[in-house]
Amino acid sequence: MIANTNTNMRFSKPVAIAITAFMLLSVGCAATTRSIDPDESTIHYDANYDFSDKKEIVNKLTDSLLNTTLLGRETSKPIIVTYGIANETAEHINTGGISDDIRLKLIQAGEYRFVNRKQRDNALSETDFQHAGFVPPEQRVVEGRQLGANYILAGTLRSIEKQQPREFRLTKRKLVFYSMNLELTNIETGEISWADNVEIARESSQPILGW
Amino acid sequence: MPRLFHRAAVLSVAVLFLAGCATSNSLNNARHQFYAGEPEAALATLDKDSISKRNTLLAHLDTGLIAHTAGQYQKSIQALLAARELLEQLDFISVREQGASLITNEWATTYKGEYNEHLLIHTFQMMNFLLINDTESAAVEARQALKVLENHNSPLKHDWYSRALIAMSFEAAGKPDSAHIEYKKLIDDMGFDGGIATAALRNARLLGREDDARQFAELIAETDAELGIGDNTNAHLDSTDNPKANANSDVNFDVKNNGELVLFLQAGSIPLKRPGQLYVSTDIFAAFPTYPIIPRPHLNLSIDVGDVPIKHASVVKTQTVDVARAALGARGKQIAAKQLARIATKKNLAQTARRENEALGAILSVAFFALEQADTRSWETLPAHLNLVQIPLPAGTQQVSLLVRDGDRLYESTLENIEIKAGKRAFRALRLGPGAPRTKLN
Repeated sequence: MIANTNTNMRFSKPVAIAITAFMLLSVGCAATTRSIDPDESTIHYDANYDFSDKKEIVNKLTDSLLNTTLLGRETSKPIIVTYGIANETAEHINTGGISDDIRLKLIQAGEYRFVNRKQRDNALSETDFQHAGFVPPEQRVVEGRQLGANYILAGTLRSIEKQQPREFRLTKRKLVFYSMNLELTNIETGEISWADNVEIARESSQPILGW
Repeated sequence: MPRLFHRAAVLSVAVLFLAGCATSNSLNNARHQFYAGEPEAALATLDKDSISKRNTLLAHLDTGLIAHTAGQYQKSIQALLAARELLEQLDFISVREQGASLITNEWATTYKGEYNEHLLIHTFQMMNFLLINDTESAAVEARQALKVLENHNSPLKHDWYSRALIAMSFEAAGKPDSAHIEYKKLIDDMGFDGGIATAALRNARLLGREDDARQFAELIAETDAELGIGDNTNAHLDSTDNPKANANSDVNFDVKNNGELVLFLQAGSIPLKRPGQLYVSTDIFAAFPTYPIIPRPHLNLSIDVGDVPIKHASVVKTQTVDVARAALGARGKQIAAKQLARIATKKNLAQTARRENEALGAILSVAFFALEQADTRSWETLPAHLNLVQIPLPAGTQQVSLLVRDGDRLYESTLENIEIKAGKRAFRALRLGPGAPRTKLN
């Protein structure tokens, strides 16, 4: 029996049970938020591309690029310009995140140097501004000293989806296969100096009946 | 026990009458505003008013289309992405809703859209992405549209407009091989030029697919001969009711000096679903949705560039109601099975009630009869005509005037400041007639 001694309020057994049940349900329905360590574990809610896939793709391709024999053949650190990753899947995937993360890891590893293609127009505009007489001569950047890239880093993300044929069943199964291809092209010779790919296959099933 | 049944039956009758058979008021208001030529007001209504959960998909679809018409392409993209996400979430059978609909009608269920509407989500997304020059995303939508077509090919394969747009989206994204496959499939299914052979021919030549290029060139020549424009003497692009009608003999498109305007021309409003009725006995009948069969000619276009009438334009034409009718027909067996189950359930319940209490049984019968209503929900803001107009134009800033006849209605419109780049396509969208913005949009 639940009782409030201060007010002498007493509840009958059914009311007490109802209040307890309501409180339990209220707690059960409360929204929760928890932080997840990105390095902790692989989380997939369905078969579609997600954060864990990006992490796997970035790690595998970065490791491959850092262990390539190309580095041993070069006398100085190769200079790379990234041309992005084409999204040839049937999902709206921001592939810029993949190329940005690969570039970040390679820069942090210190084996490659990168030129920033996306900031090229801004850099030109800033240089023009500095040389237009607004900036003292000694503070102006010297023109003609931009790094020339040796390699283009570019890739393609593709997907193939297969759905279970229509038949009597209680769940719908979907198989998605992702293939991420990345290559390093020598700008001078046009040769593909390095290439690798990561493949991810995943199956998900969804109940056909629900409440 | 009889008393319990009595109470349950009374409660059921009350619930039955409370179950509405109408689309949300705000949705209807927004549609009226849209058709009054006020897309901005319609969007404001959809933004601020709450829509019932059962009609959320319709709210997304209408928002997507109205925003597209108003030139708010990003808003349209977001709404249609939400529509697609919702469709994925709704891809299961709700036991609760199916149970409720067995004693009421299909209005008790969440609207999940017809197959043609599923495809048109991607069609409008392709248009949106091409209009904002995001060709990669247009190609993503093209792949999604292909999945819908693969799953429901029979009712949807005559949506020439969407299929041509799929090929064009691949081409825009630099995927001429994928575009070629879609062009070829489309032309094989059409069996005639259909306003797309010129684009297909240009793409085939780019890929060096000479056999296919020859086939496309022959189709173009056939159409030109049929229309008597082989000598390029026709002054106007006077298309007729014949969907073959395209003046497109300029197959040797000069990519060094010319570009192309691709106009997503939308006109009229799609006919609404109507309730059909089938009487089984005096107290039992089945109500089901149908699309009216109203013969309607295709749009008739005359195009001037500056003051010069042009003849080298191709037009892919689709009447949305034709595809909608085929898509609804494809669900015919499913609708019929559900109707039978509903009739049996209602009859059983009424008979059981009558055994307990004659009056209550009679009330239930009347309630069930009154509630038998066809679910006529649909994407009502869709246009009646979708025309993919391809106009070759010299590079530079161009002005194009259109004279469009839709039955006995005549519309005039001028597209200004069209930037044409040599060897490139420029995309524009235009809605005419019902749903066209009353004031000129920026």
